[in-house]
Amino acid sequence: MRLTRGKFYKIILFFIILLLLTIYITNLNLTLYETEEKYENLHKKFESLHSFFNKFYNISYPINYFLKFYDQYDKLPIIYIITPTNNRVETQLADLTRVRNTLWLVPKIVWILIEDSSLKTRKIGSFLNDSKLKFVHLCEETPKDMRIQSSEKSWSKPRGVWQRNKGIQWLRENANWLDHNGVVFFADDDNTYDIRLFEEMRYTKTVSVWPVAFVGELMYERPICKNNKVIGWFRSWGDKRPFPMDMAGFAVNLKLLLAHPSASFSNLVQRGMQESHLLSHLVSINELEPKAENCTKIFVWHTNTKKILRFGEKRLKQLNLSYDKYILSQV
Amino acid sequence: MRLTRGKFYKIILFFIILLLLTIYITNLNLTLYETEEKYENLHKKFESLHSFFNKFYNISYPINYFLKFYDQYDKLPIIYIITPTNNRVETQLADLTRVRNTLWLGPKIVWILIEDSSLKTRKISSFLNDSKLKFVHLCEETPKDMRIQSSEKSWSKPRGVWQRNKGIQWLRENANWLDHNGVVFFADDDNTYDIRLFEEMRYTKTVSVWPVAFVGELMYERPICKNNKVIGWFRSWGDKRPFPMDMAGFAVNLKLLLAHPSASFSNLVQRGMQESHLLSHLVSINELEPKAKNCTKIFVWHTNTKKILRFGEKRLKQLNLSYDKYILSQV
Repeated sequence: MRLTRGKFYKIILFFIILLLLTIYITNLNLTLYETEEKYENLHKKFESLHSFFNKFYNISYPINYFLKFYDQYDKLPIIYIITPTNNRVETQLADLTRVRNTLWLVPKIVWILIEDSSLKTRKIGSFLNDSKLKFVHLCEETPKDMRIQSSEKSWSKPRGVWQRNKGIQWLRENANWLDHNGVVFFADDDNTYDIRLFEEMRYTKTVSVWPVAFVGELMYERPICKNNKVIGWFRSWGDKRPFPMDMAGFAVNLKLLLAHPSASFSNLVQRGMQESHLLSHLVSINELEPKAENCTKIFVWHTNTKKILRFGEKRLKQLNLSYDKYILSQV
Repeated sequence: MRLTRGKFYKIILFFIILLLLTIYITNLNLTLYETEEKYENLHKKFESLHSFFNKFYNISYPINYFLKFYDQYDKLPIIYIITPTNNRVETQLADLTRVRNTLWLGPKIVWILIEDSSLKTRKISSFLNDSKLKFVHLCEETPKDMRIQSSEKSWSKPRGVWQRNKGIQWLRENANWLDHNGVVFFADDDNTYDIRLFEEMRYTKTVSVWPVAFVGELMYERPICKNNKVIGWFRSWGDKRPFPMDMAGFAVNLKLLLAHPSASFSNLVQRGMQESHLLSHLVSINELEPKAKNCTKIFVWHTNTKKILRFGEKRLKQLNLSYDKYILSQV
């Protein structure tokens, strides 16, 4: 057969088509190969991140615990913790350190710390900044005539009233931008808190209550409950207290607190009546919400820290030694 | 042109090749499409896990803190913490709860808790089990004549000696399978620990030392350092103490401790000499390793918890009330 021009063009066309087809198929294969590579690499990264996760999930209780809240995190009610603190107490920073170690373990907390002082101190400022917690640093000085002297009994005058009220006032003043989905808890800086306490109080609708150890001159005080209502109180004194509880034994829904602008603590009431004074503004006994398995579990202990002995300071003078100010500022 | 058999076969062949080619190309395209889908899905999962991670990395200090150790985790020396505990102390569980909250934050810790008791109690077992910490639960009873009566001063007899020695003994007995890459720290259950303390002590090669607040009847005691050596001591009493420190002021490399089988605490030494008795077996002063920025930072406070008042219990009898055993067992 002779190669005509027509046939020649047909053959060229054929080879061009063949070439294009080959390029196309090779390109497809290359793209497929690259995509599979990309996938493999991502898979390795993912597995690595996943096993990293699992490793820490298994070896760190805080991580394991915190991750339980992941799904609902954004909707979790915030716990606003109001704590008065006093730098005339030598063990202040040690006590705050222990509370901070506990608060670190709990999600969605705002720590409102109020110093009994006319000015905010750098010591507490640095402490709070370094903690990386969400905090509010305030100060409110107890009037001098109401301050407890070292010779007086620690219960002779109301403690923490001005500071707690300052905390409540801050909530009221900032209510316009705060997240109202929350609960308010008054925590002293020397108590001991189990982290489960915070999950008991988180979903409080009005005022929730639970047992407290080491109060009322007993091993514990607690509300007596029936059918999810408070019907009485286990305590040994203060029959006249409408709400015979310690500060650490209840929490208040934030909206409820904001809805009653006159609800606050008072320095004018009798010993042991502070809690009742506040709560009387807010609820009646049968509106209380019992927590901690019908008030049978202990999640908070009213501990106190012993005073420090400093008799050695006389000897320091004799030995011509003195404290290092830089170190003293950290104690 | 007439269709010959040969031409016919050529046309069939041509169409078969075309069909196979089409199938091949379609298959390639499908595979490519599927692989890209797979990649997109994995990418979404990865991004989701990654942002989950970042979210918690940013909102939880413990998670952020713990993750710093990830790369070196397997090689991190273990901190073996030996803690004596006594259930005749009413605030025992509260104190242990606070220590546990702190230990939760530190990586690679083994808590060796020794009860001053002839039998291990269920209260402490449950507490340790629920904590999910790595722990060793032991018991060793202080001989009755060496036990401090409630009328006696708390420093009148050596405390915790038998229990700490039991802890040391456990390490010696289990040395054959334990990870020797570690350090031993004697932690009392009522002290306050900053989590940075554990990272100071972790890489101890012999015996490391640092300041302790609220000991020696001062606001703090500490080693005085120069050129990374201990050259003296800041303290107010006990000139005869070779190592005038509190139990909480040092940590011992595990290999060093195991290499000296006679190194232990003694109930026969004078008040304040316990630490010196142990350390004299192990190091000389110039082998000590100063930590906490040349012994100028406070990371541990020797706090004590006040005794509980129980005067209300008389009134309980009069009121015909009594404690709930189930609740009492949790206090």
